[in-house]
Amino acid sequence: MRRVALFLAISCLFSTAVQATTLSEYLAEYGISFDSVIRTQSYYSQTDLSDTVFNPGNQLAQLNDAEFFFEFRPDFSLSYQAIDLMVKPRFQYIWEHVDTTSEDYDQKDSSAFINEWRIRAGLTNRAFISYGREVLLWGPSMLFSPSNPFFIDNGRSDPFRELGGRDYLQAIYLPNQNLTFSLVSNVAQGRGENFDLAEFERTDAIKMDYIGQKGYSSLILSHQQDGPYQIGGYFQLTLSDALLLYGEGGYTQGTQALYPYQTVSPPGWDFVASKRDGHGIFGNSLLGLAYTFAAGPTVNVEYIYNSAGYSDQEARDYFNMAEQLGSDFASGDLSVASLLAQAADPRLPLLRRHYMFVQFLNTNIRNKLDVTLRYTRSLDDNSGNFIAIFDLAANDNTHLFALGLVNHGDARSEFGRYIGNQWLIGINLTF
Amino acid sequence: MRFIVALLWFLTIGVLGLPLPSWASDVSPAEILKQSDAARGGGLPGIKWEIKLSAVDDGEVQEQELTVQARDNDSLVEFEQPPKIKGQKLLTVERNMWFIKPGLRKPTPISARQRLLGQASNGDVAATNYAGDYQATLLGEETVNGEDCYRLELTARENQVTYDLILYWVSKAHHVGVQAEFYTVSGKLFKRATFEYGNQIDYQGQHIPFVSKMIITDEINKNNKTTLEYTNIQVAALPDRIFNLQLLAR
Repeated sequence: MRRVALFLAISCLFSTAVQATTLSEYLAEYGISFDSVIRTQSYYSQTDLSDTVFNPGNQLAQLNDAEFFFEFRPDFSLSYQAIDLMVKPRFQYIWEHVDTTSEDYDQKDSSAFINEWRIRAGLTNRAFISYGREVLLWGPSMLFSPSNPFFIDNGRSDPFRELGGRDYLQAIYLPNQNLTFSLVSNVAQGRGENFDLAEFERTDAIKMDYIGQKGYSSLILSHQQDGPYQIGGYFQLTLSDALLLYGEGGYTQGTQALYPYQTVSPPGWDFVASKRDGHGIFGNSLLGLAYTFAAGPTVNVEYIYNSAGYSDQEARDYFNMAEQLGSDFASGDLSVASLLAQAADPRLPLLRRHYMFVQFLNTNIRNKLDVTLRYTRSLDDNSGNFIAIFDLAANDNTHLFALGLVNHGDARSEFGRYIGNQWLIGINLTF
Repeated sequence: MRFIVALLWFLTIGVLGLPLPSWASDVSPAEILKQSDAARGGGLPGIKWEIKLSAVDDGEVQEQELTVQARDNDSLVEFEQPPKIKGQKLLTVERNMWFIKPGLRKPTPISARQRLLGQASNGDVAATNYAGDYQATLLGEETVNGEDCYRLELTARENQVTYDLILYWVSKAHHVGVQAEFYTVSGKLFKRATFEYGNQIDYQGQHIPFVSKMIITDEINKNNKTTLEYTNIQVAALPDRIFNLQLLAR
């Protein structure tokens, strides 16, 4: 029944796509502006998992080593006078193969959902309110967005998979062309990810944006219910037609990050937010430069300081804890499995303190090919993550894409705890 | 040949019913430049047009259709065709530029130098205002395709603009730029452009010729050519919200 509904929905939307121009012209007679973009995205990926103490024999995380992903992605937008409506329904089919030391199985899943939708009303030409499910991303940095209390992951490391929308109530006011004030309230989880499975807590933010002739800046104050206040911000300066300087940061008093401590009681370790109630200020600071060469490519270089990240001693404890828990995992003790699962997400966007990130981007090579190379290196343990993304416009409707990922580092380093390398090939069709 | 081109010019302008005033001999280079900007959207409260962009690169042809809304130094370019780029947007506010791609909701900051398609830089597509960006010096007078022109040297007022140096030929009779040469910092010619003015806009009771075609030729590989054709020109005041990143990206 579910598959029949999915098929009917897809058929209906394909039909809508074919008739979109006619519909758009028809609605235009009533003063309604309608637009649609219909896409499908399919890819196949293979992953070489790391057999480490963090995921012994892949029995804990049960990550797939092969995946086929298909998604039907229509985007619709409609505006009438001061009202804008946007809807992005998604129909997804996923097949995965999971191989662990104890079992080997395939699993399939299909689902239909609304990833994003929003209704926005212009109260005046300068004041707007909206409600809906959205992916709110901002800031100039390429690696991640430390100023964003809602989405620290900016989705750039895997641009072929959409981030899940969260539910927001927003009010935006533009007092003049240089200033924008936004009140943003994340009122429900929506389809946003929640790795630690904690109960959703509402987050409210006020965002103030200033844009000048040669740069822009933003200040964001946010508060999570029963959580800390966060202050964040970003800036960018246009130094020349080719050179941009930017920075971004996000800070809280205390940190929710988890730190390992040895205990006398089994399993011998505890993993707790020991700096949550401290008076220290913790957060991420990022400083970057982007330069576009006359021949076309743009290179971004970013330095990141993660003050809540593990010191050398804390990192030693973290890997010692994982080694002990990993060796005890076979005992079947649930507390061991639970702690090891927590070790996967210590509530830190990056594990250590000092990082460099370099991105090379060359778009429109022979008007067809975009190449993105990204490399992140931990300056503390010298491990790294390299990602290469190729996007080829095969014709007016078809993109072929490929992604390759390689992590390097020793057994006691950040990158490569779960994935050694990965490749992906896919096709994107637009109608 | 020059006579035929001049005749075509005369007929085009004549059919449009445009006045053919000549500048007084003491008009300043800055004024010549400012008046020629009007034919590319400069000095208007807001202007919207459509562009058909065709790039010939090593024998291969790529085409795109764009809609541009511009006001002063702000512009919004929306990509309409082909389907593979539909929904992409390029926002420019003063010297700040962002590229917005569907599915990747975070706007990517970019520089004016980044290429859009073929020989057209991001800064070319919606550029309306040379007078604001460049200091003009009159180098002399020359005839271009049978048209008597002022030859201006435009030097960048700031290093944030797309080109460091432009040589610009402005028609003495029609107050429009007809040819431009773009130079690198080292003084090397790397692009050449010609302009045609088959469009007309009406603003404050004036009939103003408006650019209908810009052809950009790569000076290194002269077979590479990018043509921008301008249609459906509409003059109207554009509100701040059109150029607001917070509203556009959400």
